[in-house]
Amino acid sequence: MTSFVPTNAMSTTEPSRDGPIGNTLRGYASMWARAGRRLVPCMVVLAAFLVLRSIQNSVEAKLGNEAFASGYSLAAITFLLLLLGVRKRVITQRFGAVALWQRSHHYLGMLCLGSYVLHAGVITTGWFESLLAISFWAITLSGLGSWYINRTAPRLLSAAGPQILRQDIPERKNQVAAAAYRLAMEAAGRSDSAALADHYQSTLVSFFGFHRGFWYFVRPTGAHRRRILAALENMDRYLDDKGTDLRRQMSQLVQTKDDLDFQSAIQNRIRLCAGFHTWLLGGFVILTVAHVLLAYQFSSHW
Amino acid sequence: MNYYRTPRSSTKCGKSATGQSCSLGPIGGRCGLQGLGADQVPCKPIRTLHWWNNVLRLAFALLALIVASFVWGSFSTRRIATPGPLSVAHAQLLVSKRGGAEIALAIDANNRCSACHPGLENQGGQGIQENDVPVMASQSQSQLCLHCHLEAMPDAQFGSPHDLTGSALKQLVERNDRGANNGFFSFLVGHRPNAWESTSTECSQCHREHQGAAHDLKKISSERCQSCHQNAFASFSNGHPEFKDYPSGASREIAFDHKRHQDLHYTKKGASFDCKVCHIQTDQVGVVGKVFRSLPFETACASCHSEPIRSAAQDGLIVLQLPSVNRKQLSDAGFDIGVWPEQASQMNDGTIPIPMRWLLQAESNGENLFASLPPSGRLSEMDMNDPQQRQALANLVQATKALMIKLANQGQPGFRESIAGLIHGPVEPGAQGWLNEFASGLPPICSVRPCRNG
Repeated sequence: MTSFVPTNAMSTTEPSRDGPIGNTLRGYASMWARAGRRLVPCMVVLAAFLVLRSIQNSVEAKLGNEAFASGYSLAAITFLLLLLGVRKRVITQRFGAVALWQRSHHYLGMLCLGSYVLHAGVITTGWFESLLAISFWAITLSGLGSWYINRTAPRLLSAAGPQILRQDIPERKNQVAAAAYRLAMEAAGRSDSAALADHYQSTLVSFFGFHRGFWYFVRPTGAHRRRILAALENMDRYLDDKGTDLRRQMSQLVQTKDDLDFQSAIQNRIRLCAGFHTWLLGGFVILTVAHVLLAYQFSSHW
Repeated sequence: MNYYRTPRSSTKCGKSATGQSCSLGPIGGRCGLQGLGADQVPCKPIRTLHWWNNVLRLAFALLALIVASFVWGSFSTRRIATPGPLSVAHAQLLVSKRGGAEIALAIDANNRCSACHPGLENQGGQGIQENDVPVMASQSQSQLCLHCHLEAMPDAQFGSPHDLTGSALKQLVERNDRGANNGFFSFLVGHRPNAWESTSTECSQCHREHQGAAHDLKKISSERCQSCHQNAFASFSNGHPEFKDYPSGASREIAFDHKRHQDLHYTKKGASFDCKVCHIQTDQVGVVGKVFRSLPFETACASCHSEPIRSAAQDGLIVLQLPSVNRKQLSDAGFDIGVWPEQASQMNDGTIPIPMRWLLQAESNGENLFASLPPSGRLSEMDMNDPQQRQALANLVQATKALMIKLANQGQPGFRESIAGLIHGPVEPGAQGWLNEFASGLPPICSVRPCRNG
């Protein structure tokens, strides 16, 4: 998905005192540090996966039912994954930062995926089993989507000005709309700036007063903002100095409103993905319990 | 202190979407400003994202609960619970009632699971039936398997690998203490006996169903084989334990006597009895590499058998041949066979040629003549301690004598009558020429006068 990065996000970096070689070395060091931070947990996940595979082999080598071994491993990992939801609801630092739990959740999710493939394979047959598999894959894919969005969204959000809580955005939009209205009123009181007031009434009222619509939420772009800003700049020839100053302030408000819309869209996307990840959980747990009961009912040994 | 500003209540101010929410907020689902005064305009509280999340979680959980109870509750919908399609061999049994077959098997279409899964019979239908008697019951899953498979595997009731008893397996297999039982992860999976130690091995431990129509039920993973076969060896020629008492003289699915071939024929020819000659095909790869259960005639048998067969065909087809029987044993058992050549009265030996078998079967009471004889047709394999087999041999002798006397007395007409009895009607005109040629070896009428009847 293409995301829009507002123009005011383009920050200028301070020139380095170490020169280009120092910058390059620091860049490599940082890259290796980041890779190391991911490599170690990935190796742990791989080792855990191999342990699970060994257990499965061991059970199979004793003519046991390896599906029960891998199934219970999967259930245990799923239980650990569910603990993140519990941790988020407990307001304390005693059990460690939520961010740490979140990272562990991501790596456990990878192990869970491997464990699932060991247990059920990639393709599942049977109506009930398929339903369970669809639930699992839906939760897994939404989790992966949520992880990707959580990785990319902070960069996008910080590029769109100071971060604002989702529930505070409507109030901020309201303040921006009020400021734009006051600016338009001021322009209307002056004959050399009246064109700005007319433009506000004909075009900008709807921009400041209404939501951006569904498609902007799906794919937020800066095309509309660019059109409005271009139209505002074109008005400079009708305005005197004071009017031009008011127009610049109006352009700034358009930019702020667009940033707020962008933040709202990105944050809604995060919430939707995270929400979808948890909506199916209850159903998945119930189907899993039914699956275990069916397995015990129909299997001759375990 | 507010750590997390996402509202946990189910409603929020109706004006929050426009950024005009008041600090009071909704109380008990109603606007907090309600009733405070005419100058305060109350809002209509709206549901929070938290509330919608909970509703959706509950809805999906409820949906899953309905599906689970639907699957669990109604027996007729059990096919929904099946983890996958059955293999072809089992699926065809469950399609419809199969009547008139060797095994009278009938499975209620609405209660198919109980055919193989115990404890489901009382939930509708009658489950599997054998000879019109419902097999109910407190039987294990493997016992249900044996309702159909016991005939082909009489020793399967031992419930152990290769249909051997635990003690027999123990003699065959040396326990390897360094095996899986003492593996690093044994503390996680607990101690499970090796298969040969177990006296209750289930069929499904090796044969996995519900893997789809294309799944081969006989396909067993290496891990499972190695639950017993843990002693590694480089090859059959290097390190494999010696084959004791091999080849065995026991009759197999394929009528080939390994022991007789090794002891008699190969020894006579001075050839070495090498497994590879008949079981390894170098230019083909099968399930177990280049090793095959049987190779084509040209590869495995032709070197010895092609010339005798060709010679036998040139000399003609044996139609009548007196078998050799042990007169003394029959006599001791109370069967007097009367006149019978002395040279053919010492021991049970020889076979009944196929054309003679047909002629004997065409006579009255000939249909069941061969029912109790060995499937190979070799009289040397008869068990004379078995009363049924003794009776069958005595009947065969009498029937052979009757056929010989009939042909001797009636000549070609008698032979034609036997052939007509065999095909249950007159010989077609097109086959008359062949029959005339075939019967030409016999006299046109009886050539022995007076004929003896005993």
